[in-house]
Amino acid sequence: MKEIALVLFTICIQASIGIMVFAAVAKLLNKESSFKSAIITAAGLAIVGLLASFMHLGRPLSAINALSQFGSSWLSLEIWFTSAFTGLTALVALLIYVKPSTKSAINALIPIAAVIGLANVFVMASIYNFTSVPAWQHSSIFMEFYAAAISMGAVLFIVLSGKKVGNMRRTLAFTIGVAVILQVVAMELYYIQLGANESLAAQTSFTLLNNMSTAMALKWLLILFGSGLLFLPTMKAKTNVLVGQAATEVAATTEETLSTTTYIAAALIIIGQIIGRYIFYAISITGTIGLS
Amino acid sequence: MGKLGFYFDMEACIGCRTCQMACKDKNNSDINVLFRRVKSFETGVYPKPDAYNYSGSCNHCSEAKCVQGCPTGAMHYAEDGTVQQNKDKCIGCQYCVWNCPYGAPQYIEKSGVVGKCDSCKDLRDNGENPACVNACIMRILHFGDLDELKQKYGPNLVNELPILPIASVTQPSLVVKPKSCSSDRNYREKEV
Repeated sequence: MKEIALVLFTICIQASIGIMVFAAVAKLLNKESSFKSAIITAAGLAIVGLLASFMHLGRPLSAINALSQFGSSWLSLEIWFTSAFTGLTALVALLIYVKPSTKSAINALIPIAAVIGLANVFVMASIYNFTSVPAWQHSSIFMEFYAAAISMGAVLFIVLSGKKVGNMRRTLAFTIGVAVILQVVAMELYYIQLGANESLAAQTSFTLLNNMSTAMALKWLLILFGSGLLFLPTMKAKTNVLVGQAATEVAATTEETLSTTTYIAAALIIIGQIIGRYIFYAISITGTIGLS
Repeated sequence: MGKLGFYFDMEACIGCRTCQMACKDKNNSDINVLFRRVKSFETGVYPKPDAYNYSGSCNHCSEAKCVQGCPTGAMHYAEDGTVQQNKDKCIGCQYCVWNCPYGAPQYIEKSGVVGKCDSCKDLRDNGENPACVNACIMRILHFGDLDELKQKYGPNLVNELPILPIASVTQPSLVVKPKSCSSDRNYREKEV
């Protein structure tokens, strides 16, 4: 797979952005919790993503040249935004780890990183939209990228924040559900319009997509099943109206089930989004002479 | 002086690919790297089959997407308006490869950077023609002031054909004397 570095880069950065967005929201509701594991994971993912982007370059040691042209193109913006987001997230993680007493600085930096991250997702999608690849020239890819960031970020935030996530769990599950539904609707339009595109490059992409039907089916099954799983435990917990020791035992079992189900949901959603991103790159055919 | 660009007479091209080989030789290009590439197309069916060739390279577009997208400024406009590449600035991100609708920039694995037709600027700076122009045995490939080329070879010149991308996107510095069958939208590329 030629673009494996870019799959890793976009998935890691988007997941990290998602985590930081929900960390920022959670901080608004609960200023005292540090969400240490979530933020350290976000920093780790951002750093892995940034390093993966270097693997895509023919001359990674000259990567610094890319910082010389701020705002001249979507790609230069992305390089700046990704660097700023990764730097800020790593700084927040470092402060939480080394100097947790600097709460006001931490609380201020998290929303800044989240906003830069959200802008970066738009920039990332714009990069592909600008190319001469008809399969990428569709507004649905903005939704695909945002849904990936939101769904992966939210589910990782649930997993990594444990009990601290508290009442937010249902809201997060609901947010993932909405993001995934919008992703399905956007991509359904995308598939139809790609098939109807008369350009030979688009037709070739569509044929490749058709050949990857199994992977595509797997992508949606995993994402939808994973998102659906997040709603099950909360519903189950509601039905357990018991008293005394039995209630404690059932509560413990429910919590365990809840935690296992959440892990499975997280794995399914993330693997589904990774497969989707693989397909995204695998079907790219540039419209060129003889393929117009 | 108007914009500099290539003139190609499709009617007279015999598809010998001498221009392609001269370019490859001049740039010492690796296998699979062609800064000028001749493609052959067929149209129609018996009893009215037809065929034509297209010799294409970088079109040094006025609205070049490779320049617009380059994150390092490696792709830039030279003082003569042609699109040039500063290899020292290139980081090999290959964004220009995705952006150019003419397939001009090509990634060169060995060096880790992209390369493309520079319209043989070194030769032109010494008053010579690009290598492909001088090599063309039919004398149907020219490089120069587009306004002068249009005056000399006009009036039925085009820069848009069914096989080519929409010209309004990048404003290519290219004029083609088309063969009538090249306006047929039902073309098939012929592997040579």
